[in-house]
Amino acid sequence: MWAALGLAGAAALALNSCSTVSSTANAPPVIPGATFVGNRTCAECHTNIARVFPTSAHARIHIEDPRAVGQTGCESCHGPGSLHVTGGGGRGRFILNPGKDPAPCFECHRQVQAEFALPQHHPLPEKQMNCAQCHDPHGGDVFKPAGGLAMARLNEPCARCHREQTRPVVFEHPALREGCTVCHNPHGSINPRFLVQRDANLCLRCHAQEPGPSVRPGQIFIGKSDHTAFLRMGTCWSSGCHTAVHGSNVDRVMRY
Amino acid sequence: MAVAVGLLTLSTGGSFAAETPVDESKLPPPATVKVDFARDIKPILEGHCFKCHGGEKPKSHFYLANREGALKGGEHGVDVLPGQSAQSPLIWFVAGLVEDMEMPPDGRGTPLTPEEIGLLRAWIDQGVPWEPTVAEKSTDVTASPTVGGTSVQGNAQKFRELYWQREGWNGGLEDFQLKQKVGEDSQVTAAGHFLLDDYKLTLDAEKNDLGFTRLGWSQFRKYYDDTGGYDPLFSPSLFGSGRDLHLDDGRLWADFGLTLPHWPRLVLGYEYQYRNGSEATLQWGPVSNGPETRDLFPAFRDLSERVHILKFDLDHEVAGVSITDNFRGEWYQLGSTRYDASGYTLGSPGLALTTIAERQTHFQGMNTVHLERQFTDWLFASGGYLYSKFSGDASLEMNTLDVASLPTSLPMWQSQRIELGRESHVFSLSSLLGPWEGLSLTAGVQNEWTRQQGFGSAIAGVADPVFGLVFFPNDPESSFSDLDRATFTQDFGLRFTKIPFTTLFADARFQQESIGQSEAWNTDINSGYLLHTEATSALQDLRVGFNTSPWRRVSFSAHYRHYDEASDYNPLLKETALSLGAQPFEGYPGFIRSRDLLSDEAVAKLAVQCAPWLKTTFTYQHLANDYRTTTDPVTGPFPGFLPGGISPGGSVLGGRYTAHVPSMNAILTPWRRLFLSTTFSYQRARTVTWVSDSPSIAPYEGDIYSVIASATYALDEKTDLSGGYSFSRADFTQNNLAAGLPLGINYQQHGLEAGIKRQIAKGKSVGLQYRFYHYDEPSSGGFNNFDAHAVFATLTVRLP
Repeated sequence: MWAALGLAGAAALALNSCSTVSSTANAPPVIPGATFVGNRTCAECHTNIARVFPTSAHARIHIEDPRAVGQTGCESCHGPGSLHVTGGGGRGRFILNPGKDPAPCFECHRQVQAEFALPQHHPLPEKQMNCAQCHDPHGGDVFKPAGGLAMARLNEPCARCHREQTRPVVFEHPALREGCTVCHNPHGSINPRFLVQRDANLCLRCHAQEPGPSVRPGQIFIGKSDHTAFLRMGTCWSSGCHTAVHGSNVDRVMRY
Repeated sequence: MAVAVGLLTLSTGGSFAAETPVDESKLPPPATVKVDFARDIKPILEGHCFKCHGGEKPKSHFYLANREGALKGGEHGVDVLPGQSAQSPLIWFVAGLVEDMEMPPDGRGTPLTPEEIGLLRAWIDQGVPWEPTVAEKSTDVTASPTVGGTSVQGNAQKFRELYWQREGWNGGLEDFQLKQKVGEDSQVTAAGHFLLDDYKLTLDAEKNDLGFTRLGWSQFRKYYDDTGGYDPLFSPSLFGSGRDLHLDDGRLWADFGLTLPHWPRLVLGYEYQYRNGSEATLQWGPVSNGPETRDLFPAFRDLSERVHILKFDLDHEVAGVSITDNFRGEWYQLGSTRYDASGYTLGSPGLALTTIAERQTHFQGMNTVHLERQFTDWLFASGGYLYSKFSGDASLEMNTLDVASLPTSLPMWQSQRIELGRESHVFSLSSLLGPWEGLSLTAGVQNEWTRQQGFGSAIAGVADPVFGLVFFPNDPESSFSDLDRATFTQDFGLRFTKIPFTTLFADARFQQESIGQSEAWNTDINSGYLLHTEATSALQDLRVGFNTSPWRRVSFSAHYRHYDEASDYNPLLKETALSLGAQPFEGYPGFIRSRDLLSDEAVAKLAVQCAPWLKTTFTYQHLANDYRTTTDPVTGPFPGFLPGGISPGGSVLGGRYTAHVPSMNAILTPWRRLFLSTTFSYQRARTVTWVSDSPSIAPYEGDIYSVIASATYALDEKTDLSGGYSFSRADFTQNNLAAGLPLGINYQQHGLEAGIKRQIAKGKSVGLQYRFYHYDEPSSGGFNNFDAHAVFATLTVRLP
């Protein structure tokens, strides 16, 4: 949370170099002395990125109108580009790089910023990570100018760091086929390990079966096993039973 | 008048391709003034040339943003001859004397006036004077040494975990950067920070049209509360071990790139990633208190994870086709040992310790080839192929020792031989079409085939993990799994921007998957199990929405998303050697016939600049997920158990998750010197499962409130004041203490920041910051509460 304050402050500084609010609904970053040049100018050099921009999620809000220049498109995240252009371009020269500083991202993604301010969060506010490590802001799943195969592969962004949890095992947990985010909220959570639920409800969403006529109210069977007593002791993964939740090399019900 | 005729030489790759006569008499005369570069020439270059010849990839490799580049020329040879403006091709091009080489080209800018051409001629005739700009200063050094301290009253471990920092003194370099230009086209940059348990150092060297070297090292520390989430409200009060649990997460890298003109861009790199230390596991051991047993005793594990990565990247363009090849070779080593207390009895030294040591090494090689081409103005296409091969081996050893560190009859499991393999082929083909202005269409397909095999053998004392009973000590075990997966994905997208100030979009993804999976566990009569399943799944992910800004001060966007993933399982072969017997979980999950995850999401966002000093944003998100499972009938483990069966089978709504998330942001600048930004977010979420009527499983529901506010105030030209406030609160407490563990959380946290920064001299400023943290967690009985104060002073120096 503290680091979120720092980010908010950094955003304020980046946006407030003139201590004024721009007369537009969106608030693009400010680069002192620079003016907007429009997407077409950016495309002159950054062709590989610009030509696949229509496939990106950010293109969903991009308005092709000279009046909206700078509010959407390249300069809404990177700041006005005139000095960058006249200065001959160059990495980080008179241009913002949200890949290293999430403040421009949070200008629109306020709700995500709030998630990063929750007690358990990936260390992005602490500047140990950045948005671009997991998200490709320029391309979509079809085209990926940041590299990699054309389409995104499931769990690939998570697997770059969390190899232990995504490695092949003898007995895999089929939930991983649906993606890490079925159980985790990667931005931030009130729960340890960014879990979307903190108790057995997390597992019982999927591991459900209609109770038979002789099953007592409150009695819980998972498969053929009566779990009523087990579920009193903790969660499915914490109470010493299904501890290998991402898969096991020795036990098909993932106890070890 | 004398008529001079020049010869234009066009070269490609250094060879002369054509010679064209140029009538120099048509050139405007050179200006007669003494040229001032900044006043007379730079505006011309900026206005007409830099757009194409000033970027990282200048057209025709002619870089006109510095003197060296201007004199060097590009693909067509030397363009500027100092002292000879009439013979300089640059002047011929801007004067339009060479057909098809008019500069700027049609549609890329306005032609130069005769006066501007005359100034350029004078500039060349006077020797191409070029004054360096401020941005091109040769040395730039910034350093921010800092020192301070943090004191914590209350649970210091919780403070470390939540704020990624340790209490006590800290200091070092908060930030430093050194940029040194070496010549006109080379630069060396060193940057990073050095604080306690938080280090980063990068060293980059780059020379235009030659290559680069990028070296770096970074490491940070993740701290853990060593109770692992144990709920102290349950009697007894707590099991604090006092361990300092933390993981150091780091990476070391070296990349070497070759960027020669006309050559493929090549990058060879090595990266070493590591994670070392101990972490809380969220796993607890059983605690007995008379007849009551709860799993509360915290566990932890030691972890050592190392990855060596060899990288090779190639980019090149041949005949308009962009070719990319990426290779990654990863050597992975995992060593982890989990420590679980088992059989802890309150008031007596009955502690036994179960350790689970796991090792794995593997190599994974991946190579991707990717081709792209812009065929026409309206058609762009790409294709790719990825091959991946994985080969590894692993081991697992579980032992239980009593309080005297002697083996007990509690669970043990030793598996020294586990083999794993996986091979994948992925093909993709994608296209982007823009048949009409304002309309773009994307379409892509991807096929993936994966084959995965696993095999292991073990000696086991199989036990019930809760009651610690060993059924078959020293039982030889073997396990085997084989998985074939074929996935076919289609991706479509549409953008329409022809409606004034509006963008419409629609995206769709469809995926079909078929899986053949065999799993076998053991072959003896005690616990044999064999399951072969043919599974198919169908996914559809649809999204439609718009963004409009009819007035500059208002924008409104909204989208709706529908996601449906349905999986069907056809268990062709199910065998359990002892379906009557001692393993009560036999058969799972062979009776599951289908699963369906259905998700609907709606998001709307309104941004309004209400007044020159006030900008507001309102966002609302609604999300609903349904989890449905269909099973076969489930009978009891033996005849007569639960008449009518455990389950009649059929479809059941296993769980439903709903969330409402409104949020609001306001940016205020009531005075020029003051800037305020405030974000408020509220979330109401509820998860209900089919057993939520059970006393031990309460619905997981509650509210989360978040506030983030920041302010900066320019006290005078040299002094800035800053402040910030952050707050979040959640009430997910579950009232199920009598029949289970209350696992929800109820907390609130506050963060307050106040700072002052003052410029004390040119290039030097000092800053002082005070921070206050407050964390209150009633659901922990106050055990996790803390207050913290931090004061830090920072000096920032920028040279020259």
